[in-house]
Amino acid sequence: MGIGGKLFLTLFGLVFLGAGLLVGWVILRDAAGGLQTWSWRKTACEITASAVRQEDQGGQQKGDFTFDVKYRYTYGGQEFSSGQYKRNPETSEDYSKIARLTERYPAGSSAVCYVDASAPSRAVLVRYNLFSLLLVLFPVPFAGFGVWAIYYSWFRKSAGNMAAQPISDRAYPPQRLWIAVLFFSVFLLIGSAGFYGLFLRPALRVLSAKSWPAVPCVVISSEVKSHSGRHGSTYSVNISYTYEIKAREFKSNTYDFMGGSSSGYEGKQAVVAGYSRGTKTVCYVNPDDPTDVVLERGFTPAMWFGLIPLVFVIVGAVGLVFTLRHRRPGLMVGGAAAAGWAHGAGTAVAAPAFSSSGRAERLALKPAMSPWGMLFGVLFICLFWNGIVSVFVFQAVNSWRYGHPEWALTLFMIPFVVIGLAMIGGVFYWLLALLNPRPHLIVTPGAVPLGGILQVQWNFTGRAGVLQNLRLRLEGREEAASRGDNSNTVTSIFANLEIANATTPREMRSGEARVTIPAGLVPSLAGAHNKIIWAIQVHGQIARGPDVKEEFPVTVLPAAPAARPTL
Amino acid sequence: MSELKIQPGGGRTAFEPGEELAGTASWKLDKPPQSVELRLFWFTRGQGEADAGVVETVRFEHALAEEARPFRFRLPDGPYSFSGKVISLVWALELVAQPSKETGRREIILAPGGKEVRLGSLPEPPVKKRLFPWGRR
Repeated sequence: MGIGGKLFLTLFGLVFLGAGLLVGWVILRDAAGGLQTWSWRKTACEITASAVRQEDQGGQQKGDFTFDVKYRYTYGGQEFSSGQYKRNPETSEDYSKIARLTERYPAGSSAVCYVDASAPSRAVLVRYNLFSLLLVLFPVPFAGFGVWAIYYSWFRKSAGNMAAQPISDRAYPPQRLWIAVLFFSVFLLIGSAGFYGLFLRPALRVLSAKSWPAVPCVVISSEVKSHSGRHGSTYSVNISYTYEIKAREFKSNTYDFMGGSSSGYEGKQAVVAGYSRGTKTVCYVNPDDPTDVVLERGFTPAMWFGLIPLVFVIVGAVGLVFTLRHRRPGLMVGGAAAAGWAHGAGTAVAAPAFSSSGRAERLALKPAMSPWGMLFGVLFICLFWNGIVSVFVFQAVNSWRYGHPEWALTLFMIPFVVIGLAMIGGVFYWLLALLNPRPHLIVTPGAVPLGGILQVQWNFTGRAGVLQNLRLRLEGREEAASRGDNSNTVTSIFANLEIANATTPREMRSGEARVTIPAGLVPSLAGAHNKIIWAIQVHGQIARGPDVKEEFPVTVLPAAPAARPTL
Repeated sequence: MSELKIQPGGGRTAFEPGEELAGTASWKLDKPPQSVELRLFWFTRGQGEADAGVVETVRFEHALAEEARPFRFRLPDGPYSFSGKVISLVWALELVAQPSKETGRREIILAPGGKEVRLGSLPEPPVKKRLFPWGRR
């Protein structure tokens, strides 16, 4: 890597490290202050005032709701009073959430508060939530990635350093499984949290509210509330209403269980229009909690957006399963174990090689990748790609819808969208490929030595009549995968032997042929990055639809001693 | 100056699969090592990230700072030494002093006839590329 690349990667890493440290510092500072409340003295106190206060916004009472509480307590023989519920004020857009606190701490009631012994005028009713400490984990992956990027750019072992090490040590490469596990775990956790918060929790509330009794209520105000953000405004339905439970009046502004704000204005305006001031309607009240109330207790269209995080859940879960199930396999070298030798204890096993089927007389071959496998593979990548791209496309589309077009973002996203559409096309392609006839191959012997003869039998299940032409060939190729700056796989074919070229329906449906493996080549090899692959390539042409193209790896062993050329 | 040497018997460096490889491993180190390992292994060179496989290891315990010890391996049937367009596979013996990791190495050829297999490169089979593969031909 050149100095320019190192500097770029270092800057990139510094951005992540800086952002991670900054966020971490803010969280830790808050946590450090909050944890102090756990050393404060538990003291009896009396609530003197408890109310919901609406914050002023530009001289008008339009802001969030705040829990306005006052309490008095005696500490060290002296009387004090405080107005702190927690270290930070408790505010919410949801009136009911704050009203619930006034129910819990009514004026005149006794409660427990926690007093700072070093400054007894400081007290809180509720101590720091220890679960909030988990937030400290949030910036760790960002800072970790930053450290890794900086380390990688400057301290990665150079070729010169590697040369000084024993080459044989490369037989014991470090497993970097944890990177993939961490990556997909983050996807799974974020997706799960999003899915729970945006869909599952509201959906469970909807189901629960089906049995809540309907109570008459009166609308006291209704509006579409605007929330200004960096990328334009979002809107929410804000309908305040009163209702009576056991001759006591309650107030709420909960419209549905989804809450929050989103971009569409007209839809919210239509809802608000149905609840003008003074409208008498019904709301649904939780029989166990009179402050838990809702106007619309059914599913709302906005709730379906809560399914989007499922994309992250699927990507995370499939990625984790794939990573853990496909850990780097033992190396396979044609012939080693099949020849039957074992290694002494304490030595690295270079060739666990083939199973007992290695020299099987007949062997039904398995395709390298079935159409189902390809479909799921393409679908996985398609969901991953489009899931991420959709977030930005959504933002770009909204910028146009609401008259603040983001040209730069729109133009930047075009190539990503084109690739995403191509992936969707790929999914349909492999869906169509599922309708293709499926080839089944049996070879004799199951593992053939160099210089040996391989007998191949094939037959098709499914719509074999759609095949126009069928070719089977044995291919030998080198395949090397590189990592690092230019991660890619390079292949080179060194053998290409025709097995069959069938054109009649009967020949194509099933047949048999033989092929001789040239003696002067190399047996199969399956290293972690370098492979010698021998495979039968099946190519069936189909007029209207994807062709049948499947690869069936075969095992080629070292030459039998008699077949080896002499010195 | 440390020195680790591997000397196959008769000075041979090319072998048939399954043959016996015997010789002498010698070293001259600044101080006595904890142990010295002689490893029979292969590794790859080329366009991909390197792979390696240790087939057998002989550990010389109670090693002196300067010493020569005989060794004997039965070579495996494969993989063969080969040189391709993308990958080359090389067999070698490596003498490693522990824990300093000072190393001496000797490359050998393991292939039928004692000759490294040379792999050529064929063109990719022609594939008719169509924008819409299910369209009219």
